[in-house]
Amino acid sequence: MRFIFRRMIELAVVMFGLSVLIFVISRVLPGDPVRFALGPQATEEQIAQLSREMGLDQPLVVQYWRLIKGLFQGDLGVSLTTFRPIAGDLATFLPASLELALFSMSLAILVGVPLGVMTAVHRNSSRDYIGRAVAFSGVAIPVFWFALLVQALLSFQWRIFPPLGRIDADVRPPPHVTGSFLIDSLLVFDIGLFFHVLSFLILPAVVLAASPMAMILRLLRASMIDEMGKDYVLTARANGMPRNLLIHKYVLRNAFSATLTIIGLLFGFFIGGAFIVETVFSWPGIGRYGVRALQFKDFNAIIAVTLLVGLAYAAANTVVAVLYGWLDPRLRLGRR
Amino acid sequence: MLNRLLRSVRTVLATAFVVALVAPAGIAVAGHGSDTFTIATRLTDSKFDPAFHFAEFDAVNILNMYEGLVVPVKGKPPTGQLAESWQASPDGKVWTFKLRNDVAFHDGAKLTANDVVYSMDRFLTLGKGYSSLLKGILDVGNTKALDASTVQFTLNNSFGPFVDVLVQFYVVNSALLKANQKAGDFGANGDYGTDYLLSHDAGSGPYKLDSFVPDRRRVLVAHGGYRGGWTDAQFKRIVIEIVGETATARSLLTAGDVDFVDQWQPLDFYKNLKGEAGIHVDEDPDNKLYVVQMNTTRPPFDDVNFRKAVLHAFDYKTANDIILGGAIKANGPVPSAMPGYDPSIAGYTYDVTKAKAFLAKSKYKPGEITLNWDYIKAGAHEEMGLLLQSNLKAVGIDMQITAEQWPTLSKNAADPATAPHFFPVYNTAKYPTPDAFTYAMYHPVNHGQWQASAHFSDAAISKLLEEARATPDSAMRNGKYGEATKMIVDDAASLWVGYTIHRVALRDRVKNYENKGLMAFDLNVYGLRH
Repeated sequence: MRFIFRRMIELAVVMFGLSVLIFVISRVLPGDPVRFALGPQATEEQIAQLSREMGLDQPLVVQYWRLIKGLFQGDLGVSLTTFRPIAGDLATFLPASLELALFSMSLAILVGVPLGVMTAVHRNSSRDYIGRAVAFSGVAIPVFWFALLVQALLSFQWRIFPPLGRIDADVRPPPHVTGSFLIDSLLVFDIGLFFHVLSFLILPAVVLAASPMAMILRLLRASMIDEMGKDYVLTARANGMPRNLLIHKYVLRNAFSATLTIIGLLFGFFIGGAFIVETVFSWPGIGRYGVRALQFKDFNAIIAVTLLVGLAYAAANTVVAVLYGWLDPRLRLGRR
Repeated sequence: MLNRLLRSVRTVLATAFVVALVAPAGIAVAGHGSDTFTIATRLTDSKFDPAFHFAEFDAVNILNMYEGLVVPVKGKPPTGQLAESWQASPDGKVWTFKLRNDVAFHDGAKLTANDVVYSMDRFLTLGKGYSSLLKGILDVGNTKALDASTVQFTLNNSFGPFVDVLVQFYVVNSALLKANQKAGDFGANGDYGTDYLLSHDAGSGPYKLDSFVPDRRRVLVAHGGYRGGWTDAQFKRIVIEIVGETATARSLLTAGDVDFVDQWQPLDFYKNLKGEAGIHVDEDPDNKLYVVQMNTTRPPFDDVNFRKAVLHAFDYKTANDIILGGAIKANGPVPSAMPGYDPSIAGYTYDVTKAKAFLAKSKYKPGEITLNWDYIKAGAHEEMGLLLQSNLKAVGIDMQITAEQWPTLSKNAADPATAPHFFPVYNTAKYPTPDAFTYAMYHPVNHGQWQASAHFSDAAISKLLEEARATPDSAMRNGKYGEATKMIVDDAASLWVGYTIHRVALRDRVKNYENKGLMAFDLNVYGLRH
């Protein structure tokens, strides 16, 4: 528990540092966001009025204090482009991003880990070559091109999957419980809606998962090969331990640490770095929202998105650190 | 464990495969019913509050859900929408509008003059969007309801184009907003219903808001009680899809999943769609001017001969035919599709000999000053800058080009001390009168606005523009604007490049489409047929 508590304290410090950093950066970026917000017809009086309304005429310390106070009250301010509360926008975009991220990550792990194990165990066999070719392609193919390719083929050419969005305009979303359409449709036992929503999710998830899956495969393969060359493996085999037991209970567990680090980092990437996939598939996620906020220099939205993505990275790495302790008890014991 | 994992993977893949098979194309793509009009746009998210809108991504909502007193008519003065008739006092200061009495809001409430009063005061008090067009002209409290169907505006000064400006004013349901207002900064009016209008509408237009997903999709449905009625050939639903990728927008259109792609795609998008079965590209001269403002307060542009030399050194044909993709050469600031345009103005032509002759008359020598072209990295500004750089080089003038962000550019352009030598901009008509291209660009009262970044000032022209503004009769008023335009052109106040072409791509099934010459008014879907 102390180990976890210490990690939580670290997380809080990181988030505080990030909030100061992003606040300062957002204020020193060139250009006046209020001019963007009000459009080309805006008069100087209008610009001054909105600056006052947004508190941008206050000293930076006051602005920062208002930001922190707002964060604790769930008030992230108002978007300068839509004039909607940022918290409301995030409540829409975050579940969409989480749904895509979790589905993609599951896909990347469920495909990447077994393939990594398989290519390591059957090193230099045809299965290894095929697996490595898949991995190489996954890393080498640009996401943008891959997204357009699968969309052109599977959506427009063969009409199998929907080309964009989370749900068809003709279909009502499930009642909001978690914000994940997949889960919410299951909660109301609407299987038809579940598959409808799933059909929208598959293409962006496959595209988003391709590169991380390849990374997991390559990393795990290398770790497994390294681990399989160690003395304890030779000893266990000499003592007649069944091969499957040896590989899955001991080798895989020992080789998994490095892969786990990557998976932790990938979660943050899936939340905030998926903007290309979100743009091509018009997926209403945090990544696209963040890029638009940057384009329009939407202060409040930039800060909110950055903090959210930072939190996702930090939280995922905290979870990874805790899992390290579970995978390798020496880490826990060493800290005691 | 490996076997179990592999079995799990196989199960997931098999499920995905089954889903792929059971997901029929009808579900898979956007393919909406025949009475649904689907628009693909790359523009960002938008608002539903007519007091906030200022651009096309808002206008497509606003003009389908709300109505104004008047609507623009292509090439003509505006016509009544909510107003049956109107008249101005002889001095052009008091305008009285008679309203239709058959207008109902989406909740069934009858629209009255009190709604117009509330809407105008709200518009001016909130001070956002197009309210700047009425700045200094109409104050809060000067709109009165004379009876249930008569409303009167008392202006601060005579303002002839008042009716033209009103095309950007929309009427909201005052009772609905009052019932839904929250505490706010506006006294008894609370927040003026601004929070409510973030996710609802309060209009009387042919369509009402059905649903929206921020930054993704908006769905509007027919207002069944609309006074104009509905026929089978009209679109009963509008779906606006935000599509970020040009390739995706093209595929959606060719597959028939969307009916309309708006004007914000690259030029090649429309060129490549020409000849595609089932699709046509509508091209029409727009009330949009591509102009390069020259800072007339700064050497060497404080010398009219130097300005004329630049105007003659510029290759208009390449600029309009190649860079702007077929724009009409501009002969002055007022676009050719605008009421009041004067085709008799000759403008300037590409003539290096004349350019050199004017340079010889100038008090500045070529090469004496390096000019700067500051531009936003969008549209044709970079190519245009390179073309002018090359043209000026031919007559011995050096020019450097610098990309900047719009907020920085517009702020710099507002001050004559920081405004660059050249500031290229698109100026799109927001209301159907030459006023936006003359008074707004060349009267000193507008110095500080980016449109007026030439910082041009001429007493005679200013006086003429003021007289034009004070003239209630539109024909007489346009005559005065025309006269002022000739003087502005004679003074070579700017480098007027071209009147751009408005291009959209649409499915052949969409009938009655017409570009209205004003931003987004072509997307008034009620007038379309299928």
